[in-house]
Amino acid sequence: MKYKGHSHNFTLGLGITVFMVALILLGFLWTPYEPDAMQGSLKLNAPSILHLFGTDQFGRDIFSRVLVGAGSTLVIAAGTILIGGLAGVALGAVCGYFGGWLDEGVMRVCDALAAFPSVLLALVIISIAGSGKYKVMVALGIAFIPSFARIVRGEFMRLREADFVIGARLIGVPTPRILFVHILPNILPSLLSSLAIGFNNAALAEAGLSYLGIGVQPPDASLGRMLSESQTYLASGVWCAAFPGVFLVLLVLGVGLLGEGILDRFGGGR
Amino acid sequence: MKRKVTAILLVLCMASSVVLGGCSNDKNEGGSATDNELSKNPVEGGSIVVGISQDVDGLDPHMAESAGTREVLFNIYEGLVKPDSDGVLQDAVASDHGVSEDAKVYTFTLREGVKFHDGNEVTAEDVKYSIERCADTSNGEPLVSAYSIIESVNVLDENTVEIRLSEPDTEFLFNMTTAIIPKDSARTIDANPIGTGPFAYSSRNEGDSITLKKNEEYWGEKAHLDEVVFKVVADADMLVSYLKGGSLDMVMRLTNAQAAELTEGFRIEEGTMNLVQALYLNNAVEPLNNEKVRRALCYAINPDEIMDMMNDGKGVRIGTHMLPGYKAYYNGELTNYYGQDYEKAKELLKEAGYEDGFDLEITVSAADQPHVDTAQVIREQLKNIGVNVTINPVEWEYWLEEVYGNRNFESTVVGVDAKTLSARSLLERFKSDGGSNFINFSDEEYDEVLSQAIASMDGEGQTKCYMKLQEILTEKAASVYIQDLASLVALRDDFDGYEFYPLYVQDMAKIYRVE
Amino acid sequence: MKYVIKKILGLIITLLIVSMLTFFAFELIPGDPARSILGTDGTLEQVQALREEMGLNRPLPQRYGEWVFNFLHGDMGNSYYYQKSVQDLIGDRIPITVAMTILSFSMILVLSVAVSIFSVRYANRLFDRIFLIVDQIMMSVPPFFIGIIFTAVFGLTLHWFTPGGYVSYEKDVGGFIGYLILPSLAIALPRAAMAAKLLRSSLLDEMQKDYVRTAYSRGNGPWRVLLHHVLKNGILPVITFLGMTAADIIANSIVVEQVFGIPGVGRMLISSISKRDYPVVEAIIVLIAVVTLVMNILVDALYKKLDKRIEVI
Repeated sequence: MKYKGHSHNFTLGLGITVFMVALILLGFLWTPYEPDAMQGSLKLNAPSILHLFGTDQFGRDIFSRVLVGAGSTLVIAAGTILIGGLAGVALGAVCGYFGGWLDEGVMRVCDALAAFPSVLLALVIISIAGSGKYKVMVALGIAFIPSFARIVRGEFMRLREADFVIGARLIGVPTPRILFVHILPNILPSLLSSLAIGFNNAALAEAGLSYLGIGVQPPDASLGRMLSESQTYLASGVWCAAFPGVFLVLLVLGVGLLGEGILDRFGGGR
Repeated sequence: MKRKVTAILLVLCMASSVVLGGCSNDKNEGGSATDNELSKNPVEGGSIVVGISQDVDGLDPHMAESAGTREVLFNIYEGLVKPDSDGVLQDAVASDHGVSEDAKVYTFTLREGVKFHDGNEVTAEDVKYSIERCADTSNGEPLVSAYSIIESVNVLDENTVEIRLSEPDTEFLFNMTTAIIPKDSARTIDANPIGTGPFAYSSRNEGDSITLKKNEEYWGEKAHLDEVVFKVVADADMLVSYLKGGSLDMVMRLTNAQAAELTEGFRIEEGTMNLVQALYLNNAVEPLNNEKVRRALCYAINPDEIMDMMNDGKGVRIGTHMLPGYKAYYNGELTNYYGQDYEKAKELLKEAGYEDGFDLEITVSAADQPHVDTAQVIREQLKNIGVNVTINPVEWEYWLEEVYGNRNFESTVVGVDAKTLSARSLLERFKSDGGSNFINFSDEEYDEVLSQAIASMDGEGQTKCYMKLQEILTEKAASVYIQDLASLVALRDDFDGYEFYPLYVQDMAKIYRVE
Repeated sequence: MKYVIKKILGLIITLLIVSMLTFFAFELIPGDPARSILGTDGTLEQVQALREEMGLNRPLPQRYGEWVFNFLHGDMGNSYYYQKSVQDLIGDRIPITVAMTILSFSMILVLSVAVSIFSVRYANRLFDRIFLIVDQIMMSVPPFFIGIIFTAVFGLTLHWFTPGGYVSYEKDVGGFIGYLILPSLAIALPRAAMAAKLLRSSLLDEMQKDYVRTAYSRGNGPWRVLLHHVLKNGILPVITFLGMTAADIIANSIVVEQVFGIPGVGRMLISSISKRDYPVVEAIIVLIAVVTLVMNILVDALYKKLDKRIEVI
């Protein structure tokens, strides 16, 4: 990747993302309290030194639950872009490089899939396969394949006639090597930034589905579900809604800035 | 095409925290906000909006029997008799009834001047039609399964109907709450519901709301409100905002935490759901087929602690498969039959050959928060005797099919309700070869006492038999009985008159406005 | 003309794929619809009889053909849960979702244009800087969270609206629109933020062009140049984005309808999913896909048209 210049977006985005991800990773190993432990005497306590984000209607520590819930979000969003990204890159690379009837066919199916808003496509898959953490991940992953495939295809089409590619073909470099060693690194900035957008869309979609009660199921904690439950306590425990919400916004904000920063800093196909 | 519902009623609430249930006849003294409002005066008229967690699945009273539908239709339709808030059957469309000495012939005299909502008077033919429709076996099982023993329904004169049974049944009156609908209305009743109740159907918007209006021609004490709107709020997390915001006036079956939010402007009525909540054990699988193991579980689980965790101790602890609301039959001595005693539990496990404990799976419907919460407390309690619990949250459809239908489970936490007000409807289930005996309970003595109870002609002897049956269930530790769940109802303090029933119904006719 | 034919052919092929995907996806669903209708009480014979009645025993391709044929004739089948046809059930709800979509779309357009123009006019000044920060944050907030904030602030604290107090358009059109404003705004804000950002950079690019200097030299004021010249050209690259927004609005309305208790298509979809009422789910999904596809094509055509006009200039 070529360095294009300094970017506030990149610095700020990287900072926020690293901080949030570090917190969440910490949550996988350690939380101040057992996230599901109920304490009858601590119901709806305001934030304090002992409970940074306060406690919920069952006296559970919201900070611990936010960490674990954001963990689910992170796993699902990362899994989604892994599934969607790998399949999308493979499909897009092959279609874009070779073109022809294969390209035409695959892109038709992608168009058809893209006609569904990705949340809707995930809903279809969930309504067939049932809900749960990993099903949501797979559902969103599949729903995101077309968008990655389209972006990657475009880039590969652009680069397949580039000098360095034609040169490589002439000296007999095997095709897979051309695809993934010669071309792929050149599209990294735009790929990474679309992965960042995809990550955010997946995180927001997961939160929305869980808010509706058809995403992550209890006993797994999730930010969407916490937000849904918090609506009962808007008057007496506004922190139940505020902290999960702000945490989600910060995570998405960080990754969003990072994605833009990558483009600012290393340039892209656009 | 109707979605038939089994005797177990659980609300399928998409979002979360509501269970289903019924209500109870534990009258209550009202909530915190009510004390100084006795000075308010009742006024006639007005409209109320009631939040319900799921849409009614139809308006045909004979077909639509899911719990949530029943509680709405209670206001539109009536049977020959109907329960009052104490659970006692009162004459409704009939003004008098009699039973022959052999308990095989029931005779009903129709009340004069009872009119359907379309203005027509109820005739003996309408009654015959309604009962026969529910007893019809041409599609297999009759709509009301107890009607399989109906031999004939005869119109004696224009005001008298007699029902002949093929075998004696002293408790058959409990089944006569079947709604009376106009003759030959089977095809139209769902779209154009016509009954005799204190409210008449007005309009419906599927998935959103159903509106009832006052029946001015009602034969009995007329309703106070002009209009009742049942509004579907599938997401329980919205209820408090909607109540506070003013778009709902009344919501049933709130959780304790929800009720605690409604400190101003609402009265909270407290009763029970009329569900036997228990850790139901599959008596046919290892190691639960060993009575000692089941008894050990009973000693290890403390219902009081569960109730404290869930609802600040609200709810009624039970020790057997009977609702405390059915006071005549309830065997209260069994409530504390098993006190929490880990040592004794461990001893029993040792005798049974499970000194090191065992693994137990609890299958539970994920949408029913109280049951999920209960399972979590049970997991902690059973750790103390080396029983290692895994909780398997499943969807309600899966639960119905695998647990209830195929009996493919180890244990489950659920609430079981009664279809009628009789003890029999609760206890008959556990006959060794009973079709709805989903826990595979099998006991010769139980079967024998049960048939005695059913055949019994004398009320007292029958009650004794039912008491004995409860005793057997407890002693053999058929399941770990926990509680009848607390049921909290929020009512905006512009309204009053809420009454709990020992059935899953809401009687909107009793509710009135105050100023 | 050739372009139109090609596009329409493409649309038809895509629609066929969409319908096949949906139909066969729902065929894969584990569990027997006849069994789920009859519940645990149904006997084997009853299930068989119902399967026959519902036509579940006929070969798949034939059923797909019939389904498409009926769908094209406005017959979307019957709901399992309500004994009503699907078109009756969702007919009343479509105007609600459509109204919300139009409202949100207008808000996105108005907000993004207004804010980005101000921000370009005062580029690199305080307003612009604040705008950039707020905009970036706004883009990251999920609409349902905005909905929750609106409920807490405008509903429960200020009492400007009644949470859950949806007014039917059949009863009171003014009240209906009034109730939809906040939900539509909740959907519009994040998208408007994205659109404003794109529009801002597109407008800034335009500002560098020669014709802008020409316009200034003819004595036009900065506002006039912005509104009359730059906006027209600068909005072009953003149109594709606005087109894609339609799908996003519909997807988000599914969630936001839940927050505000609006009985639209989205809420029907969610409750049908939880009731396993597949004919309704199937119909709504195909409808949404069709609407999205048609929107995409319209935007495409609009873009082409505008683009040509600009080439001519």
